[in-house]
Amino acid sequence: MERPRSPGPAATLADAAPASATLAQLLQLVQQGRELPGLEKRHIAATHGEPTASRLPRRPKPWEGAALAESPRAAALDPRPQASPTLGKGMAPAEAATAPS
Amino acid sequence: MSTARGGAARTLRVPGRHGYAAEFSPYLPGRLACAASQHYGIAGGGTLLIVDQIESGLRLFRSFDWNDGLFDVTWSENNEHVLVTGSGDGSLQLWDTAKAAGPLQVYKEHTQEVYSVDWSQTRGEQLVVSGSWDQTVKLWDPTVGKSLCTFRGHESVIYSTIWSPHIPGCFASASGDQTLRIWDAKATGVRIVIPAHQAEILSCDWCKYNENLLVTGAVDCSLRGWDLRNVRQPVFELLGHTYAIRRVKFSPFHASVLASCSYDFTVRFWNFSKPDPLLETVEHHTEFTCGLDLSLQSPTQVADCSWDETIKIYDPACLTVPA
Repeated sequence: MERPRSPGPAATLADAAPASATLAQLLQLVQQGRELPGLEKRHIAATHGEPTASRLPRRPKPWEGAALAESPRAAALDPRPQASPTLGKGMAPAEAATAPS
Repeated sequence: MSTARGGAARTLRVPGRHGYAAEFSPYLPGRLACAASQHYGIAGGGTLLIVDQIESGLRLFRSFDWNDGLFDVTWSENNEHVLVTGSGDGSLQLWDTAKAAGPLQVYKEHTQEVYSVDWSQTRGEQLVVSGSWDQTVKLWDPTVGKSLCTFRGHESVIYSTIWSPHIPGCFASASGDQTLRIWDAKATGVRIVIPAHQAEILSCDWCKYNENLLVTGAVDCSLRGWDLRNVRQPVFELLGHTYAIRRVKFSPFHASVLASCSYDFTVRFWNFSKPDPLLETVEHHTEFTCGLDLSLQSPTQVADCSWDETIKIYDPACLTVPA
């Protein structure tokens, strides 16, 4: 986007005391609405190509062996791809857990 | 405590590119993706860097430019060549590391910066969740051009959206509205709202060994643990960082170990089950450290990236000591 970043998060960064003079200078240029030096406009677009075919098997995560041994819910995450995710199991903590505002 | 020597960091310098996110490939042990931006992400373009570890250090395998800054990256869970990034122009990109030109696809719906992207870890689906400064979360199937669903509720910018590694269809989001929210991909309304900090929350992650436990990292410099069975108070609070926490990750190998990086330039390692939880502070950057990941293949290896134009892979001493 041409315009500078949304003010809220940028302000968070500025409040954290930018350590380098270059960053402070850039922020000042942006806040003054001035052009930044050396900016090239790019026009990169999607190629709409197909992804290169995968040839590697999926590796199990380090926690999956342990989880399968201990948790019935995790054991339901079958290693074979499922037709649809098991979202019907729902979330037990939801009813009790909405914190007071 | 015995003295353990961690390995020296291997460093890749990327001049003119300020690192925002780093992710180890789930397929290739030596490969790391880094989302980076020109001009600290304030203006200009972005670059996706694919980095390989080799005998002598780190080698840039390939890089891909984009029209705007890149703020996050996530690898596919079903194809070793594929990744997704989130950009300052509100779009997501799908990339193929085996092709020199890219991106394959661009997904443009968010109306402000996409600060977080995550590919689902549970294997029944291949879904990506994106979190944006436009205050919405979107759900994507990378083979479909339009989002599957948009989740509204946050009242400020979203900084982080992360799938549960255990509960299919469940993801968490962290926001400038100071809440951590838990969602179910099949329901558009939020399931749980946790007012986790009295400051913006820049990062969150799920424990890999306890499906009810998450951690948040905030601008108040603290990390807090949350048990979804009772969210009225945190189950732990970790103090030590002196500026905002930018990213937090739970260890893939140790149930109570986590790592955090901060605007105080450091990376810290913690074990929340110990009375003195801070294990180690790594101070090898000279600018905000924004990207952090823990290897899925090596229990000792860590990657980070920083606005100081470097990417580092290293083995901190605290992870090389047996637990």
